[in-house]
Amino acid sequence: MKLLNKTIQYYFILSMVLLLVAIPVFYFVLRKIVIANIDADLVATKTQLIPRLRVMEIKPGDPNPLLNNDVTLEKSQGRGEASDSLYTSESHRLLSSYLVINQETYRLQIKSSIANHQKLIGSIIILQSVLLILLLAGLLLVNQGLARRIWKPFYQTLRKLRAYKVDDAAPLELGSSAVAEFRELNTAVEQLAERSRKAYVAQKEFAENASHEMRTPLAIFQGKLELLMQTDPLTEEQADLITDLATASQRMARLNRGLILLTRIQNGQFPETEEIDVKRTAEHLLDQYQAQIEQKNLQLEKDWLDDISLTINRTLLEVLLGNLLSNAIRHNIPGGRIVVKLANGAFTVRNTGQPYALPEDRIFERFTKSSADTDSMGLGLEIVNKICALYGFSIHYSYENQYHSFTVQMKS
Amino acid sequence: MKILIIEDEQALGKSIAAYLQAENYTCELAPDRKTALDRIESFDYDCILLDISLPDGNGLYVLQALKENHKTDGVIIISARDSIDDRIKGLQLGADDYLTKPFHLPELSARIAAVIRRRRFSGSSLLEADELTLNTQARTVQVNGQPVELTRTEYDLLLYLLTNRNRVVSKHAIAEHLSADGEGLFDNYDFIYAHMKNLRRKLVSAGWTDRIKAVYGMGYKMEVGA
Repeated sequence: MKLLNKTIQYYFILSMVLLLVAIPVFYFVLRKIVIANIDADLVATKTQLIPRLRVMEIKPGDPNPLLNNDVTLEKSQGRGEASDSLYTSESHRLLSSYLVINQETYRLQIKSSIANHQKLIGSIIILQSVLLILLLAGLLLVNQGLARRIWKPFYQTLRKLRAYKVDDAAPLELGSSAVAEFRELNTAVEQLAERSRKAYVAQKEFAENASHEMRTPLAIFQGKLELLMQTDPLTEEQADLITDLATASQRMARLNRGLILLTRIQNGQFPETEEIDVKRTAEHLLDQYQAQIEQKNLQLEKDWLDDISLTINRTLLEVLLGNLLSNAIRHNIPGGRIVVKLANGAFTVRNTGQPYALPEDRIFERFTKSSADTDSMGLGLEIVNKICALYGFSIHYSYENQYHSFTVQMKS
Repeated sequence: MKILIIEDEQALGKSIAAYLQAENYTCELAPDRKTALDRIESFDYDCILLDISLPDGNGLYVLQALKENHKTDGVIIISARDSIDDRIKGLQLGADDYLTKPFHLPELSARIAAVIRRRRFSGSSLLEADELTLNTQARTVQVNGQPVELTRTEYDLLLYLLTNRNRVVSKHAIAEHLSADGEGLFDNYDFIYAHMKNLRRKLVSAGWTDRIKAVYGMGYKMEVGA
């Protein structure tokens, strides 16, 4: 939930409670006031009437001009009560008083309708409620607008942070804000971003330097091994040992090349681009891998439904396609199939292989081996992924009907 | 033939020298730029192997010095750096070839041979070994004067073995040499066997005595007279 909505939610709850409590309370208070008012009126009327009634002759049956629907006077049996009583009956307020006229006790009743007042109360309540609701709604709106404006720098920071990548060449700049808290936040975030950027650059430089430094000892190792091969006599046992060493050294060299290629891609060291046809490049690579394809007895199917022309660095395109194609050959089963397809701006390689899907979320990571094969170096797909990211291609892996499939969407 | 190895890593320099001496090259070692400059001023070399990161400065300076002295020694740069910029810079300054560490010694030997052929015989050269004659410009092969039709790969393989004659060439070195991109994406060396079989079959049927020896599972050796 957004912070803005959270505060508004609290405001809303408070408003509702306020409304629900305030309106009944208001109603009862108002009613009390009105009744007190009526009572005062009734008492005043009584005080006014009594002296006039006393002097009037009361003839039963004769209509008395002072009496009407609201004011009644009737003979009372017994002495009656000394004090007046006020009570509510149905929708009326009644005042009954006992008075003695010509030695006879009478009960005087004056009533006043509350109904009229009730209407008034109703109207006042409605008016008040509307006012209150308007006031609260206005408050909410103002608050929301204000909050939106106040939080704007925060959302700006958030947007920039989201777009920021640690491998960006430029440091993160969030700008200044008039609000002290946001200013502090921006400074803290900028410092954090700068620290991680520096750490990233240092790590990248380390990887690059380490890879380069490794090359000379590797060259020495490989050279000595090749001299060792020339020694005479050489037993089969020794030859086997040397072969294993040479294979290991070959792998180290390949790994080293892969790492350096990765850092180069990350450093943007392939700026030259040219117009290249994907189909021709793929065909050329497949020609190169012909021996390997025949070796594994693979069936190759080419589906050139479309040709794509890209403005891209030649080396990188060759590495991209080469890694995908060589993977399809390397991880295939003897007598398996490879289907290469170009359609709708996408390059797809499908191949038979292990009878289970690869972990989709991990295959593009460094050193994720997909098989027990020692010849997978775990860098190929990461390089592919980096090249795709560089040119804005999307890459997708799926496993369907025994086929592992990699699709690179090069043009939408 | 004389080779100057300008390399500050003694162990590597010695390995190169040891491998090349078997091919009747005379090798001299220069561990830094100063020694190298002294040497090239006093002597002529058929080929100079140049490491560009030397303790006393950039090795490219040696290339400039050669140019200024109008020397025509062939130069192969051997470097741990292999960015395209480095390559272009080296080649623009007059280097004949550029080899990135780590490299296979047979590969270096083949490159040296190619540079010397280009320099010495101005591009046209016949390579002879017993009944075999290779025309490295026309890329043709003859056995006892009879032409033999070879595929590109078979020809490359033959030339590679011939320039590394009488030495064991590992299957790794062959695979890397034969893969067109030089990357060697595969650890599968079986395809060499197929090419090797075809090459031997073609040469033998043309009257050649098979002198290619498989050395256990390690590699191959071509035994021919000098």
